[in-house]
Order: sequence, then structure tokens, then C-alpha cells
Amino acid sequence: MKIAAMRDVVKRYEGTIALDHVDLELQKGEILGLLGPNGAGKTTAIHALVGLLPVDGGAIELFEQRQHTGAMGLRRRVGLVTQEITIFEDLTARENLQFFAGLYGIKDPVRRDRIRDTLEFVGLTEHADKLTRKFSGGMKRRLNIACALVHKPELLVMDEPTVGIDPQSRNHILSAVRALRDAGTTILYTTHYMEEAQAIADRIVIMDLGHVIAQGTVDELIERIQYEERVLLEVGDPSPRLMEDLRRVAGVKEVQAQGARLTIVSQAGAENLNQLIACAQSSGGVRSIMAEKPTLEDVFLALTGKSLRDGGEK
Amino acid sequence: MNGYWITARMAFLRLLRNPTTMLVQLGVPLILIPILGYSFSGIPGIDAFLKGTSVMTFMAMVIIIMFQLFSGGFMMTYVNEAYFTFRKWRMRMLPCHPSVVVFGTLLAGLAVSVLQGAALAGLATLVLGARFGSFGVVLLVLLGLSLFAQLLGTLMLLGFRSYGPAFAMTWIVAYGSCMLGGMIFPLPVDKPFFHFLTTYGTPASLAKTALLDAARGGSTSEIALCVGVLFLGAAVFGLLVFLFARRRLA
Repeated sequence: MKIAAMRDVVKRYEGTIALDHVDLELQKGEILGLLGPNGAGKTTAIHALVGLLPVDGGAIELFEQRQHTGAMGLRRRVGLVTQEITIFEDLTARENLQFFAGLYGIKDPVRRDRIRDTLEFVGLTEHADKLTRKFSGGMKRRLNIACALVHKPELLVMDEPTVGIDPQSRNHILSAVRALRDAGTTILYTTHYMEEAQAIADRIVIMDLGHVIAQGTVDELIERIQYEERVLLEVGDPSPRLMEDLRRVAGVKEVQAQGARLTIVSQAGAENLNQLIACAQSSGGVRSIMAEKPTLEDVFLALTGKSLRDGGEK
Repeated sequence: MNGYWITARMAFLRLLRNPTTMLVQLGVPLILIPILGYSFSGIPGIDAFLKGTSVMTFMAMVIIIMFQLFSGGFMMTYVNEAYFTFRKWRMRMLPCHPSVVVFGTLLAGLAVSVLQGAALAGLATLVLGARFGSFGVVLLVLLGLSLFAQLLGTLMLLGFRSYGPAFAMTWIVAYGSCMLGGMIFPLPVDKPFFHFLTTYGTPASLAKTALLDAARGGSTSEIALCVGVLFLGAAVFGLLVFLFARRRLA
């Protein structure tokens, strides 16, 4: 079942086009990763989707209703985790949740229960009554997420929720996101960390310069660019004869040697790993072997000609 | 109604826990009142000028009025953070009109500054021997001034949509009100225009006249007139804020 959709959406800011005929769909119960470098249009896309920004063209549907900036009713069904930490540092974790739950119209005793459950979910029960200015960066991020969860949204939109935090808190957040998906919440997760998108997203939409440049599952995206495979071998005796034998194996395009380490590039789908190992074993044996799979980083590089890590700069 | 109260409650807690609010609105005036009171008490002719009110009482009144007029700044900071800077997307995502949060915050600002003003008046009475006459009038004046200050700050923020110019304009209006009320330096009150200005012409003048009349046991109708005009002015500002909030925060 479709939860949200953007069709041919265009958004312009004075002189620049932030969203250029964007199409995307979000299915119930999935984690959709929105991946792209800074400035790709991810935040503009999610703000348009949840009705915070008017668009200049196209149509947006949310819960089978036409989305627009004044649609207050739809906001009760959506939670937004902003990129900035927006908790109140002079309130305790519990008071922060009381504030947001109160503004969503949730009353006691339901509010009390929701706050207790939400604090437990993000692992802050023991810190519930401490002022949040004393929290670590990771704890603040987790409370930031809790504030968007306390009203039990059907759709949770997370805008770069793990920026600037320690690996432990990041893992906690990623586990929590998976647990939410398993409990039936639909999640739109924007990030410029491809490892995160690869780790948690059921489907991925890659954006760059306001365009959707590709979408699909991780495997589908990788398949689109997989025209070669690499095998890294460390051998006992990297002789010229071994190099020649390896080059003669079916599907091999190139063999490079760096000391005892050999990089063998084959055509995609060559399925020649057994033959490569057999060759290497006859020439001093194999010390180690590693097959390299393309990553989303390679997909982004192949599709745009630039790296995701460097913020999309050419 | 729940939205207003939850916002007011949380903003109230935030203001009370904010060390800057306490220092600026309570600590600084507590230091200024005795320093200025003792400094001015030796000036020849001051007792005749004050017509029976003690210098310490007069200084306490002036300082309390001035700090009440500047009390809208903290509320402005909260609203600015909520709707014009880093919290704006989070707050705009809430299923309630922004005016709910603005008025809730305004209520908290009002409550905290009235409490701080009352604490100042109480301490000035107990420790420095100031005589305000009627504490009820003090509370009414504090309420009127604080309401005026909170609404002025909100109006400027909604008008400019930027904290810097809004704060500067609020400061100019508050300072101008005190200056034209004859509270920064003496004005030629023997001339009818300046007499009117320093008696009824600005919110600070109205507050000063009401407090002085109460301290001297003056006419109730005069006090009621000053307090009434002060609240009327605040009501006009309130209407403007309501109109601006609907348009600017839509």
C-alpha cells in the first residue's frame, strides 16, 4: 500500500532549482533511504512531502490525500526528526516529551504511558528526569528522535539523524529504526552516509542536484553498474608465468601485481573464481583471497562521476 | 486550551532555570536600587522634588519600571528560536497554529517578569525600607507593564521577522518610554507638554504616576486612570499582535 508519493515535483528558490521533476513513492512498512550529498535536495524533498514547503509544480500525496502546506490533520500522522537537534536543553527529557505530546493533543494517562514507552525505546529511561543540557551528543540525538515518536506516527521522516554522533549511539539509532519498521512504521530516512543507507534501507532513492538519478533496492542499484568483478589474491610466488596463466582464464580482463598481491578484473558474471584459485595454488599457494563487491559509493560515482563522500564536489 | 498551557508551563520552567533571566531581571536591579538610592539621597533639593517620597522608594520604582519594560527580550528569544531559526521546521510540523506556542510563551514571560518585579518590590520594602503604599497597585502596574513589554517584543519580532532589528527596536521603544517619562534625566515639567509627557505620556510615565500616587496615598481615580490607560495600550498591542500572528505565522 502506498503511503506517500511525489509526482513530477518542482521547487525553485530564487534562481536555483532545488527539486527538478522529482518522482518517488513510499510503500507502507518500508524504510526508504534518500541518499545524496549535501545540497542534493533531500531536505527540500522531505519538507515538501510533509507539507512544510509549497511546491511550484507537480503533485504530492500523503495517506491518499493531496498534500498542501495547510493540511494540519495529516501532521498528526507524521513524525519529523530534523537534522538540527531541537530539544529544549533547559528541560528534562521527560518534560521535552510532555511538551511535544501535549502539542499533539495527547492527554494523561495515555501521555504518561507514551512518554514512558518512548523513553524506554530510545534507552533514556534512567536519564528521564535529568536536564538535557547535561546529555552527550548521542543522547540528545536519541531524545530528538523520541520527540518525533511520542505521538506514534504512521510515517516517520528522519533527516540525517546520525550526524556528528559516536558509533555506539549510531548503532542504537539504526537498531531503533529497524525495530520501528518491524513494528509497522513507514520510514523515510535521508542520509549522506552510504553505509547507513545500505545497512537499513529496503529501497534507496539517490538524489543529486535536485534530480532523482536512480532508485531501487541496493542489489538492483549495484546491478545497474556492475560490469566487472574484482578478486584480490595474495600468492606465494607471483611469477610472470602465473600472471600469464591467470590472464588466460575465461572472463579475465586484466591482472595487476603489486608484490605478492594480485588484482584480477573479470567481466561481470564470469564465475571464474575456482579457476583463478586453482591457477594460484599451482604457483606457491594462496595466502589470502578477497572478492570486492561494488558499494553504493561506486553506484553514485558511476552515475554522477563524483564521490558521495566529498559532498558531491566535482 | 491544552496547547497554550503546556507551552506556558514549559516556557515558565525554562525561564526560571535560565541563569541569565534571573541575573538580568533580578540580580542587576537588586544591586542598582541601593547604589542609586544612596547616591541620589545626598543631592540638595531632591526631597522637595520627590514631594515626600523617599529617594530609595523612588529609585526602586524607577528601576522596577525600567526592568519590566525590558522584560520582553527573553520571550522574544524563545519565539525567535521556535519559528525563525533552528527549531522552525520542528515547530511548524506540530498540528497546532504557531500562535498557540507564541501566546503560551508570552503568558510564561508575563508570569515570570511579574514575579520578578514583585520580588524586587518586596525585597526593596523589607531590606531597603522602600514604601510603595499599596502592594495591589504595584502588582497591577507590574502586570500592565509586563504585558506591554511582552506584546511589544512579540509585535516587533513578527514585524521584522529577524531578532536583531526587532530587539533593537524594542529597546529603543522601552528606553524612549523611560526617557520621555523623565526617568533617565530631568525634563522641564513646569511646561505643560512635558508635564503631561512625564505624567501620562508613555507607559513608563503612567506606571510611575500610579506608583507615586499609591505611595503618597493619592486619589484612587488617578491611579485607576493610569493603570486603565496602561492596560488599554497593552490591549491595542495585543490586537496588533493577534493580527500580525495570523498573517506572519500562517
